[in-house]
Amino acid sequence: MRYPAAINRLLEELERLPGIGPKSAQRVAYWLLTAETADAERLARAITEVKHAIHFCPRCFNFAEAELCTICADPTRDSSTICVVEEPRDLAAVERVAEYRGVYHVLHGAISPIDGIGPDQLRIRELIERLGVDEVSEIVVATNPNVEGETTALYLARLIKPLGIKVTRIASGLPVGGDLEYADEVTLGRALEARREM
Amino acid sequence: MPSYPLKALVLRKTKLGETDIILTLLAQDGSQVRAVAKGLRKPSSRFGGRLEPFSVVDLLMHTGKSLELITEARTVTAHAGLREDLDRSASAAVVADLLDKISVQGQVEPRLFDLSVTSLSVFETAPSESLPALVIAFLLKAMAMHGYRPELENCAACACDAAGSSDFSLSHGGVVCAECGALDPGTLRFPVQARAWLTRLLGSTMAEVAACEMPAAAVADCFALVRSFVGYHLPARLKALDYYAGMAP
Ligand SMILES: [Zn+2]
Ligand SMILES: [Zn+2]
Repeated sequence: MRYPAAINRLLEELERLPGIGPKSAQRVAYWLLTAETADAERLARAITEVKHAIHFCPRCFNFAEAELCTICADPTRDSSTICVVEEPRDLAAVERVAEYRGVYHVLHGAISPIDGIGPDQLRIRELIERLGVDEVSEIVVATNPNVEGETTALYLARLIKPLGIKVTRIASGLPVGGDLEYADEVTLGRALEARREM
Repeated sequence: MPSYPLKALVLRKTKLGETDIILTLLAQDGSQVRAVAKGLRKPSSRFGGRLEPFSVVDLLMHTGKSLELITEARTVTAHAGLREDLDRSASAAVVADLLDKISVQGQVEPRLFDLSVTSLSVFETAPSESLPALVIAFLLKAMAMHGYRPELENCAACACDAAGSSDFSLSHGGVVCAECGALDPGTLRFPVQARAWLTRLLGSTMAEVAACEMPAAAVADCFALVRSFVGYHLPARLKALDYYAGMAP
């Protein structure tokens, strides 16, 4: 079926969104067409606003609306501990635990030689610069437990340990609620290595 | 044939949607296979850490509508040591990248799988100092299997005896005599001593290369030459090789 040009333009834009195929795009477009004008305009405004108001925090590269992000601007956070994550989404995941009181540094990716992503493409230089400014005693490396995340962690440890700063790595082991017999050798090996006294 | 077993080496992972991954694999017969592992990015994935790059796995495959699906995975060799050391993982990434570029779907070359798995196992335990020589040896051997074996004895252009020449022509694919070298503006300087090392690496097993204690000057000359050779003959850039070259001490 042929749509008017304005609808085709909308469909085209929607299909560019992650996880949205032609079917979902049609569903969203149909909803927008039948929704109240005010609803559609609110969505359009929210999109424009987020693009204008949100930038990367110049200290940790998290999303920020004010000059610094809410975490860097919070005086109750302990700035001597920096948790290093790959993406802002990972930061949000660590925050959900609500146990961590330090600050963050978002690398915006992980080292992946095969994809041509080296340390220079990440916010690693900025992390090292922070170590010279703030009194930092510990770097917690919370990159993903996959080959790219491990490579990044090893690289950071090699770079930062000589500066006399403690570098720790989040433990990787068995998922809570799972059965031991289904664990793979690598995960189980890691879990055994990181065992603790009870 | 809805379900079938496949032994393969994991080369790389590409994100697909929210939690799925497309794996590029080198099958045991040397052909390339691309397959989907559903939910692999979830910490609770039943595949766990079995499908990380550089792992050799026994898979149960299912022919899906458009792509192959991985339904079960069992570790044959995890090569975990490659992921726990920066130099070893960078070396292994060169292996994975080259295989990703030279292997083709449906094109069989069983020697390539054996060479790759053996190389990765040697990379995992060999002395760190031997890694550059091992990377050079792997690239040479894999390129030779792919149909690009550098001519290291006679002139690659006129077939005369090129014994004393330090000219190497990328377009002719080997050493050239001084006369032929002068005709080709792209001729590289390649010292005779380094040439002897290249011949030796081609004729040695990976375990022998790990123990050969190649001098630093020969490593530098051979690495530069092999890097140019690979770059000249492959249509795609080996980003992992650029990365590897950049991290040399
Ligand atoms: Zn911040
Ligand atoms: Zn000649």
